[in-house]
Amino acid sequence: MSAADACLLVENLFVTRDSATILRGLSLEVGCAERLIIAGPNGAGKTTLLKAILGLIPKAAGRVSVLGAEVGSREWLRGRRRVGYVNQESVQVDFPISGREVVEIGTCSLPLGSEEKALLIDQAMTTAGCAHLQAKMYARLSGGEKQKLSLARCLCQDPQLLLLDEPTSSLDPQSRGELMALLKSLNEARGLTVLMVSHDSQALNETGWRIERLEAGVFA
Amino acid sequence: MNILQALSYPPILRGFLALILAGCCFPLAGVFILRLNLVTLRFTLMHAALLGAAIGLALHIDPLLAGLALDLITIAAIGRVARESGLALGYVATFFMVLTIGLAFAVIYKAGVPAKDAFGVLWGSIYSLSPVDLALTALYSLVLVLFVTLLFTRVSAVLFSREIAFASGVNEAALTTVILLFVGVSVALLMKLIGALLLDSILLLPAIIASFTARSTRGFFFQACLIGAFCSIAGFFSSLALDVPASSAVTVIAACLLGAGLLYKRLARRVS
Repeated sequence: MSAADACLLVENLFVTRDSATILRGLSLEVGCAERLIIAGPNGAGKTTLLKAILGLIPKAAGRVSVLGAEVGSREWLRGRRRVGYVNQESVQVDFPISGREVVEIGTCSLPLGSEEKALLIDQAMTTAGCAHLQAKMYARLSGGEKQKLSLARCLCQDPQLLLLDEPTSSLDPQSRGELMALLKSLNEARGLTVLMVSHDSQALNETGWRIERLEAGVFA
Repeated sequence: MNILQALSYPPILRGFLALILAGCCFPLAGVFILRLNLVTLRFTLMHAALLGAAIGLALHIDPLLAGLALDLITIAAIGRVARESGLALGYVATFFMVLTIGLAFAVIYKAGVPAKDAFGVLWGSIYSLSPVDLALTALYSLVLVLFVTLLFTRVSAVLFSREIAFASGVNEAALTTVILLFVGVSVALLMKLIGALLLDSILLLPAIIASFTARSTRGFFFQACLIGAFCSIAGFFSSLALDVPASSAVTVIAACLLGAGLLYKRLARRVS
């Protein structure tokens, strides 16, 4: 699969931190509208892989190409918002911010007027099933509610690729099921490519998802 | 002399206007300090201002301008070092805090600068402001308010999560540097206005109090400014009525409000 055809292309990626090699020559191809779970134990390098794809951490060697643009290039910088990202850390945020303001972050770099943005936010929150959380304080919501807001935030960006870091780790079984169903429906209805990393063993039982196992910085 | 008579004196009127402006607007920078864990930064900037003043006195340059210049250079350096090293801003600020005070004492000693003249940059008085100082405070307040208002979504993205801000297409590094610069200028101006030891009463305490009750980022910014304005106005009139320094009166009122806020938080927790 060429870089132009693949939604995500990782070639021989090495990432180091504090002189330890976290990712060792990783290669991965993800086609458009694919659903992929990267499973693995804690410390396998799953979060590091996501951050390297997003350009949040530098790579020691190798190449990462997202939606045809090499990470770090000007083309990639301009089109960065086409990748939605749900990280682990923002679940712990206790800063005063409302549900709607979290979703509003997804409209940051959109060239739209305030009314258009407001409509986009409303639509995204309805799609993600969190319209009732607009005025609630984010820090006081449950893990499942926070994840729905994060998804709504990503939907505002109109992404082609969605990256999720351990989205089910703080969820009860019902919330987990709802989240997985929502991701599946977004994938099928919008052709959204979804890449999720998880150490949750139940994730391996999901149907319709491609599973890759990452251990000690390499795919098993 | 009654209050109206007092306000007829230009230095007192200037001080009053500057205090209101600072109280209404500077708590916006206090929100930045709280969220980005920059509490150490204000000590860093005090030390950097002292170093700048010492260098200014040694070179026969206005110590206040030199102090402000060094504050801005320090802010830029902190942002750069934090980005390159991956260390938290608070840790990098601590490093510069120690470095600048060490250098300040070295300059004071080697250049034979009178220490009390250098330390003078840390003591402020609202009644010693010139018309230019007032104009500068007004202009800066306007710029700060416009920055938060016009770039609100991007600013709140950075305050929420710098990673998410970057992934959402925000130039997070540049915006964080600008936020740090606003913190730096706020600290430098407040040192001139009410002195280094008491600047928390306008910069930080209103933001801390607002964090107890705010449910949104907009509410957080708004309430911090409202509380700052109240403390400034109440402090000013109290100081005239009770014949105490204005900065002390503002600080005592802010501290009382903080105490009330803590009590509210405790009661709210019991009720829920």
